[in-house]
Amino acid sequence: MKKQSSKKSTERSTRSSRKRIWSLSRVLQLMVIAVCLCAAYVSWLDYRIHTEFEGRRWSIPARVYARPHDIYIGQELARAGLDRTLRANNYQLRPNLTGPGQYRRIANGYEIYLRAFDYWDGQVAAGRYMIEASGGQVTRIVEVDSGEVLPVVRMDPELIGKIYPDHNEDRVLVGLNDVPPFLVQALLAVEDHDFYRHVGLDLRGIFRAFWVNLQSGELTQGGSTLTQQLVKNFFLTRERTFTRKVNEMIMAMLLERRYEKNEILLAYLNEVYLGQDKARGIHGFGSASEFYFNRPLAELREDQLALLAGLVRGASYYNPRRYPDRALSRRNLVLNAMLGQGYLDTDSAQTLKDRSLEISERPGGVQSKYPAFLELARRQLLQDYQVGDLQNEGLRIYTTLDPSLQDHLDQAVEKRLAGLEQQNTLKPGSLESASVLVEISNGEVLALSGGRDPAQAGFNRALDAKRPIGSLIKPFIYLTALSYPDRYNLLSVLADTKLSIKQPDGSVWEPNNYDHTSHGPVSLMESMIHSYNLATVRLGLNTGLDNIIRTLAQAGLDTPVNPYPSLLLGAVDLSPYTVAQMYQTIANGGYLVPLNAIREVLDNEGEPLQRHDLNIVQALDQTPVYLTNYLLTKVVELGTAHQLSTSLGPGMVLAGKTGTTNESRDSWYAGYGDNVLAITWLGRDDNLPTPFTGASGAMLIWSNIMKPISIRPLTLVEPETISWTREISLLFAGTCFEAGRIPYTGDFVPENKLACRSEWDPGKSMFNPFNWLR
Amino acid sequence: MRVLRLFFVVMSLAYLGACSGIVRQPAIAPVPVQDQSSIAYPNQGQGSGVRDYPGASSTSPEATVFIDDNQPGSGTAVLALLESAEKASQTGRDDLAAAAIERALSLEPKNALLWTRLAGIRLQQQDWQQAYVLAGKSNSLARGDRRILVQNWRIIEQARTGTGDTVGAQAARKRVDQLMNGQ
Repeated sequence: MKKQSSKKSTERSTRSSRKRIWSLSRVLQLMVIAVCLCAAYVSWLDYRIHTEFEGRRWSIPARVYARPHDIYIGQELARAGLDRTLRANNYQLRPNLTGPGQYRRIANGYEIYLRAFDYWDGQVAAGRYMIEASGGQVTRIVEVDSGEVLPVVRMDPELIGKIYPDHNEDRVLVGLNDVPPFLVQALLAVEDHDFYRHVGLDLRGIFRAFWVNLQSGELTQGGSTLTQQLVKNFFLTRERTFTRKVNEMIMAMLLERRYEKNEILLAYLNEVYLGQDKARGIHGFGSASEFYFNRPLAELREDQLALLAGLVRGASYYNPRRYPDRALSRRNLVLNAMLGQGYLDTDSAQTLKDRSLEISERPGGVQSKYPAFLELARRQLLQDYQVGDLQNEGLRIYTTLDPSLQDHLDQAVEKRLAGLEQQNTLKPGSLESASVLVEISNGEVLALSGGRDPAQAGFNRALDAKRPIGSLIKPFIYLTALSYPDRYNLLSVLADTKLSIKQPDGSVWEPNNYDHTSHGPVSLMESMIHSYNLATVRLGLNTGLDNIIRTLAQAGLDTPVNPYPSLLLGAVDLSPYTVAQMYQTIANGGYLVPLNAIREVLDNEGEPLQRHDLNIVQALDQTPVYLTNYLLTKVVELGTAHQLSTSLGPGMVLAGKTGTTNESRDSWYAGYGDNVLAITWLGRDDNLPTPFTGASGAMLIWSNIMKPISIRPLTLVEPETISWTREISLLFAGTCFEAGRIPYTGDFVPENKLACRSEWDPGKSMFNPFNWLR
Repeated sequence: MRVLRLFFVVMSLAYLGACSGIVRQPAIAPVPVQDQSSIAYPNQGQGSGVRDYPGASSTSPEATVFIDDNQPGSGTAVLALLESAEKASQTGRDDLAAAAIERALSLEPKNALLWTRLAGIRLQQQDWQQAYVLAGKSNSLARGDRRILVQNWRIIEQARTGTGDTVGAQAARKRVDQLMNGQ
């Protein structure tokens, strides 16, 4: 029994020990399973980190720049011009230059500490340059450190806009060598003391933060390491749950295991949220520097860097524009923390704390500094790129915009329109205008005005307002006629007499001159100079509408035109931009260069994706183009655009043409010197009549644009095919006119059928401006 | 756009001062000024005249170009850009050479020689059509300067040969001969 009982007890103990072993192994099994599950979970997290972190693509908005500003020996240097460029480009006037982005005036010029920048054809290193000028011209450029004399130097271009991603995150990527060590120190001082020592978590840090915050009564230090903050931003939601916190800790440690400290730090510097501008979120210190100080990170002062480091804790709460006091005390708290941790000594901390915030007046890096031009650039970019690429890939887009010309243009429009409204007692704001400025030889759009309010991004009249062009069509008619030298030359006699024409739709068209007078037999030259409608219509009909339409197409008109006789007086609706293309072809001697707003596109790393090569097309025969250009200079010298000769100074050779449509609904001027062409339209959005001709409206704006930019006078280079008549006197506007020698081509010397013998009297009627306001 | 890792790598390299891993051509801006003694530039700022340009000896018939009356001061910069274009061209960087010439053309758009140089670069790149048109553009600005015209017609001859237009090439050759014979 005993035996039995002992046997039983042995069995029991064996069973219980088996049970224990079983339960132990069960526990062990469970533990193994749990460990496996944990390991699987951690591996999964690790896999997530690995793939997401490495595969992560930041959306970097494309940055759109103006053209870089060349400073070269011999350049006309209106001091204000360079001042403006420097200011617009956020160069700061300083008594002494300590770093890039600063300049000072010297006795005969400037000293500029240029910023480094990459252009597709090479890099410009940062450095100090002396720009010496005399008599309004740059005479010497010296690189200060090397003492090297340079003929030309290039200034980094102005940022004029960005193309933002759909989620509107703004980000300017920085590399560690762009980041001042002071910023990192400030960041570590307030956010993560032991960053370079911990493994992703910092238990001591948590306790210390708790203790410091308790002592100071303020939220001086956070418990999360930078790594944890980065993990939170990268992978996790904003909800505050226990699971999320655990995930955050595990992932932080995994991240630390996989990546170097500096890799994590750099990702953090580019990721962290630092502000908001309406819908635009400011991410990373690169864009924060631009947003708050309008300068690159590398150019910030230490107190400014401390402020940025302070914003990490709460960019909205410490918003320095909205709550400057809070921001200031936060900045000083950062500086105190740095002092406490030995990054600063007492004196320098005090000096920094004494500084005011000096936040830029307007947020930097905002989109659309020049919305009208940017719209043109955007349209052109969309021909070659997907919207997504422009929004996300951090492209650098160098445009053709000359910001200082654009400013002149915007000012000229604003000033002149207001003046014209006042002088003519028109309702303020009733007039509108649009202009396009083009560099003739390469078709680059220098500036573009889409309306009187340069800040408004709405209706772009330069690109989209299609209006009848009136007499702006005439040069193309004369050019076509002069392509037949056996039929027409400048002295050919045209009949400026009434006519009526049956149109294809059955209606009868009876054109008239602007002054409702017929001028009888006139030379082709005079007809153009005074913009006679009747003689032009006859010339056009005899030349052939189809031929003229072909000329228009060759010059760059890209829409079909009906061959109605009314076309001869400009009854064709075109945008100023299209007109600019057509006039570019004439101004460029018959060589069409497609108008262009984009010079280069570089990828995020500065490698060229696309470069716009100069491509020219010989569109029109240079001989009739030369004769037409000659006529257009006479329009300015003697004709409808004569006022320009007085306003822009005597001896200024320019070519131009005025245009006015029925009841002065549209006032146009197309004009050019040697390198710049500008087309200006003036009218009303509701298409009601105005009191302005081409000369009394659009041409005045044109003149206001050109005056301050010192347009170069036009030099016409004659082709070998051109010959000159002897000196002639010509019956002109009913008066005898010493016309000098007249160019012609072909074997037939022009016959002067309107020759006169009476004395030339300049005072008689030639310069009565009222005859020419057409 | 590269993945983040690549970005890190590049940035780390940069951080370590190992930028030399990224190969770049020497910048053309700023351009060092040429030794003035080798540039004959007799009429700077005094209206039409002739000047030598770098890359050609003063005895060469191609060595002369008209100064544009209207841009009296830009000559030094244009010469330097021309020189930089020559250098780029010699190292096989025709794209950089073209960019330098285009930059010079912005300063002196009516300088026939610059158009000739651009035509020559396009020829080098076997862009026959542009070489042909640009040489024509230069002709229209050459004001009868035979030396420039000869260069342009040579370019036209080669461009036409390139497009297979042998008849046209022969005509261009004939024009070169005529010009060389003073006709």
